[in-house]
Amino acid sequence: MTTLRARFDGKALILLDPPPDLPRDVELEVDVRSTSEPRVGSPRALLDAVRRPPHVSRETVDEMEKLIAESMRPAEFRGAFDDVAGDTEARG
Amino acid sequence: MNFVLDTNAVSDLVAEHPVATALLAAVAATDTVLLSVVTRGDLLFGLERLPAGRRTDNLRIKLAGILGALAFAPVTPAVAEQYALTKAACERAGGRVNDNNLWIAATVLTLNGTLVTRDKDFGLVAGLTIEDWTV
Repeated sequence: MTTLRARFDGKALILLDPPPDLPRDVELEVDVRSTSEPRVGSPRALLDAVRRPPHVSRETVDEMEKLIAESMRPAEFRGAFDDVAGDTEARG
Repeated sequence: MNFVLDTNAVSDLVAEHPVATALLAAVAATDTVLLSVVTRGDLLFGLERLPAGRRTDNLRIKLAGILGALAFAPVTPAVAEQYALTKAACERAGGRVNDNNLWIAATVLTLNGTLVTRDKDFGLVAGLTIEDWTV
C-alpha cells in the first residue's frame, strides 16, 4: 500500500508529492481521507488512542500478557506419524 | 514502511510505556502501524481470561481504542507460504518458535516490515527485522 497526499481542485486530484514509481496507465484504487482525521494505521491515530483515557496500570497489562503466554505452546517439529519413543513398547 | 506490533508491543502502548510512546511519536507520518489478526486474537483471548471488574473494563476500553487505530494484516495465501518456509527453516536450524509467533513472523516477512517486540524468540527467525520499543 502506498500513501499519497493530494489536493482536489474540483475536477482532479493533484498529487502533492508524486512518487516516481507509481504505475502508469493502470486503474488504481484511491481511498480518500481528510488529513485532519488521522488514517487508520497511522502513527498519529495510534498515538491519539494510546494517550486517550482510561489509563491502565502496568500490573493489569502484565497480568493479561501472562495469561496469553500461559496458553502458548512451543512449536512441535515432530511429524504427525512419527513414533514416540517407547510408544510401540507401551502398545505391544 | 510497515511496523507490525507484537502482543507485548501493544501491551507496552496500552500501559503508556514512555519509551514506546516516544518511539511511536517518532515514526514517520507516512508509515503504517499494523497488527496481525493472530496478535489481535491473542490480545482478545488474554482480555477474556482476566477476571471481570473495573480494571478489566478499563483495559477493554483502552484496547478497543488502540485496536481501532491499527491497520490489520490478514493471513493471506502469501503469508501461509511464508509460514511454511519460516517454520521449515526454524526446524532445520533446531530452533523452537511458538506457532502463533511463526504466523506473526511470516506476516512481517511478507509485508517486508519491521516487527516491534521484546520477545527474544523472534531472533531465531532468519531475515526478520526487529525493533524493541522499550529500550
